[in-house]
Amino acid sequence: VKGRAKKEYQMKKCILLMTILAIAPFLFASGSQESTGTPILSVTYGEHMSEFMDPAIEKFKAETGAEVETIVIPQGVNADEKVALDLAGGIATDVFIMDTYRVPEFAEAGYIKDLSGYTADWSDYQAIHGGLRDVCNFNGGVYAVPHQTDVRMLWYYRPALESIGLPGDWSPRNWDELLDAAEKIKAANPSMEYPIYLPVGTKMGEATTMQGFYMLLLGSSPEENDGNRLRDRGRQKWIGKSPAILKTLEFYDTVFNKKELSNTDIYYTPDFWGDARISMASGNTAFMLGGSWEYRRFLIANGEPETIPDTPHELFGWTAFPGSGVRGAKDFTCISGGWAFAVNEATEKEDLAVKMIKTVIEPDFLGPYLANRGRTTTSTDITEMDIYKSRVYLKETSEQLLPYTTGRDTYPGYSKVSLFIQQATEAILDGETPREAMDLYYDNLVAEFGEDQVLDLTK
Amino acid sequence: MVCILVVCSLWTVTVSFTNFALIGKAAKNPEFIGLKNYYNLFRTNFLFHSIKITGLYTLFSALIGQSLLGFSFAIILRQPQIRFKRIFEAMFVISWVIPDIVISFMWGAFASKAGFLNIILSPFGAEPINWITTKPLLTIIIANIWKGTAWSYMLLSASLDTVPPHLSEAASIDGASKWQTLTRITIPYIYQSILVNLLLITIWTFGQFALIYGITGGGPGNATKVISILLYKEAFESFKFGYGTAISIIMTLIIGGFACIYFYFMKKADNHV
Repeated sequence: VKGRAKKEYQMKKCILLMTILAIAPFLFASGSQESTGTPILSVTYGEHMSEFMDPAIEKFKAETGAEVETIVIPQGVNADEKVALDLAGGIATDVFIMDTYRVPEFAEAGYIKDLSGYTADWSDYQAIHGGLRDVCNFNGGVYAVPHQTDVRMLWYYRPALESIGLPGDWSPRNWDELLDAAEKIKAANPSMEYPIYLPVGTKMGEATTMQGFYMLLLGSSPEENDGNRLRDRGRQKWIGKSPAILKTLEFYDTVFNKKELSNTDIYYTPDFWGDARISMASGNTAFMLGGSWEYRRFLIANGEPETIPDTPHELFGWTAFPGSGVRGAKDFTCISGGWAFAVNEATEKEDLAVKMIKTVIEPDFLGPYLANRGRTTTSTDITEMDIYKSRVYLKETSEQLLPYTTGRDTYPGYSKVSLFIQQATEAILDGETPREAMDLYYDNLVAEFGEDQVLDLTK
Repeated sequence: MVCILVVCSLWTVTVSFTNFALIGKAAKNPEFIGLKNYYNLFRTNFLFHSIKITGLYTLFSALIGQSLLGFSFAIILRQPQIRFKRIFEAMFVISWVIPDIVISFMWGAFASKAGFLNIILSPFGAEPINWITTKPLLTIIIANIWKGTAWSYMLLSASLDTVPPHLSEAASIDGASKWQTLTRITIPYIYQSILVNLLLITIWTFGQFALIYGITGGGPGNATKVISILLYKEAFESFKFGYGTAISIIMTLIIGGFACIYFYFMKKADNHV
């Protein structure tokens, strides 16, 4: 028995040694190229960007001799949150994509590099619209390079409009017309669950603030002294209470409670974006407050080719989102965000990282991707490309919405303000009155920033 | 192990007294803010609401639903006339081993307006409704009962195996009814196991996240925002880590309180024996 035990022990030792020898090459493989002198640059980007990132990375590798390690964020994963958590955890890559509204907070946290030293003679950077470049600047520094922007509008399902005798290219002139149409559609199509799809609640995150709340807020009341915004840029304070905020929350109350123009489940499902698009494609939604990227998503949800047609689609249409109709308020509203490339403050390969961004934003790579996907460019050079100019949808959205768009109040602390807005809309779903929801928002702001930093414009 | 626990606990308690955030100025230079995180938690209704929702969820899905059903099945399936016991057991265990997030997708479809739940109920004249919207708390409670009853069944079934048959036989000879045998012999005999089961399912259910987040995301509104979802949203969506850790401390204290109560009863039962 003793002899057998000894034999088994030796056998185990032998297996262990063989296992170690077998896996050793893999364990050390990751560091081998770096140790032989070939630099490795790591990059994070979204799955849908592979179309232009892959060839751009090949060119980068050929020109620099460096290797590239890619982290591709799968479709459906919140890239904004992932990047923020990677940075906070110290595991972010050298170069990454980021939502432009995070720039001030990432810069303040010391997560992203100031690229000012590289921009003076960088022609593709200089070709970016000034206003869009400004969104990525903070305290005089250039912290990110925006590569695509967007516009927001009102999407509609043409057959739903036709079901109540409206033309398929109808445009509401104010909120009341929109609500009336949605009510009539609901009466004509009792099984329709979302006559108006209005992003709401905390699970939808920034979409609630931007696609929903801000689109309403901007047109809710006259824009003097930033009365229709979340921040008074002149006085440098957050607006906690205002007639505009109240009117916006009243719209939420009307849609979800008073007129019951939308069920609430779709904003909380595991795949809430996928469900929203399927709902639109299947005629379960009549109107949807959404962004310019949605067109392609609707086509995919409807099982059609992804290419956006140059002629009006038989099912999906869009129009500018109307203002409230209050005297002095905007006739229609639009707000834009966008995505940018940034460099990790912790990188030791700053020059290579900038070279990577320079390569991937070259119009030859980026232009066809944006044109094919119906995404709005930040670059005047790309606007002039034939492939971009030939796309009717991009031309129309760029001409009709882009000149009038605005951005968010991306000052430090905006993320929290945005969350408080989402909570206020959620309070409406809980049955609180618009005034109570506004009080909640105000109290949250005061607790976060202090009373001297928050304005009450209702007094 | 203990060292890691102590260090992590101390770190968590310390962070809960700071404004530490994952982004912004407070990520680089967090400041000590005393009890402000706790003050802000108790200032608004969010925490109390989440505690209430979590309490109801735990009470009805775990303490009443899972344990009562689990115990009932354990008793019923012991009866000699019950056939296909193994098939029933396999069904229980399958629901228990499926990951929470998969179950959440299943229930998302099951409880939707066009889902199977409405098809089952339609012969009884029930109008199809979207259960996730109209009865969100009830939906997640039922989902958790379905998921977790197997644990109570397995634990209590094993405990029932330890009850000596001669006790119930003697009671039967003395003229005790089945109910009397159950309440005066069987339950007192497995009392410790019942308490252990209640302790474990309370701890698990109170901190449950994936199942609820997957089905309702804490909504609609705040209807199913249990403490774990509140914590997640504050710490990882709004990146207020200090605030999030304050919530985690309160959550730990509540669960610790429950554990103490159970341990008290266990000790009392021990002394009684």
